[in-house]
Amino acid sequence: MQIPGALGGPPVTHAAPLDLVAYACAAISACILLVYLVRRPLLTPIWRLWLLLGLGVFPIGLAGAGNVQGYEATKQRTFCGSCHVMVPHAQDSSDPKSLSLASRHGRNKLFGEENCYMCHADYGMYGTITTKIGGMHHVWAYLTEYRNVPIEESEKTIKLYEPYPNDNCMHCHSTDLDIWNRHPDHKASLDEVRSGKISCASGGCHGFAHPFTKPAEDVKKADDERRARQQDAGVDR
Amino acid sequence: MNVAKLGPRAIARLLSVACISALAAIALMIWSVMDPRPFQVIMAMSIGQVLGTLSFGLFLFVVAADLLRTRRELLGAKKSDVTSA
Repeated sequence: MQIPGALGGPPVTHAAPLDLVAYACAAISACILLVYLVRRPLLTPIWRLWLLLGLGVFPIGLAGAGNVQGYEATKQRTFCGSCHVMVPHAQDSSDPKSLSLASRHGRNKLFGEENCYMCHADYGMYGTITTKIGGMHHVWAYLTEYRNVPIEESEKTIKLYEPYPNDNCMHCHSTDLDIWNRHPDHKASLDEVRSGKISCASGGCHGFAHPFTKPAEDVKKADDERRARQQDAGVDR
Repeated sequence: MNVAKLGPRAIARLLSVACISALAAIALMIWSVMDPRPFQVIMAMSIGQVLGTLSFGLFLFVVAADLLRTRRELLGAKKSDVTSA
């Protein structure tokens, strides 16, 4: 597995323990199957046992380890950024100087290299499954619509299928806590935030998550409004 | 198809198919572990797993057929012993 080095350095390649399990299962299974194919022995009880290991036990071990590794890999920012239309999003998230909402969350250790998944995953009992189904939808959309779209064009045309749910923000930023309600804007808009009428990631609130996808004038206007409101409220953030 | 009538050659051929499809499945799954990008992960989790499951299913089918055939041969031998006695 490749993990980008710190501060944009060269990728660090190392094998996770589950990678080693997968490699071991694959190697043992492949050896058994190749010996069988070369020697073509009769199906004696001993060979039944060997083939049970080579066709059943070790491939199942490989599939289990591979699935877990694959699932973990799909949560990495580098995975999301491997489609060219997502490169600007991934680059902005990795940029230590960026002030976008996505980048600020990417610098949080809780989110780190998995910040795309952490913010865009659905919550609830079947959240992982619905997120993965959504991911397959993205792959299909990429193959059928966006594969040949230039990055500059994709930045302006790619949109979420549905408005970003505040529930995903509230998973960490609870609106029940005093610290949240201490902010006058929060207090005044509590119901609208909870019902999703006002988006936390709107220009007038905490800013756009990926501002480069919005028209420059919208971003500037939103920044000005936010600054003015913060000055009015006497909040210096 | 009478599974108990599968001869040793058919069994060997089916097992070879199972082994080759399992090797293909292993290759796809290892590719996704070594280079986890969308295409590889999707291939491993779909085609790789289908091939792996099919090859294991084929192995179980062949073993069941082989056991049935052996049992039938044993029963046939016993019957001929009884009639000759």
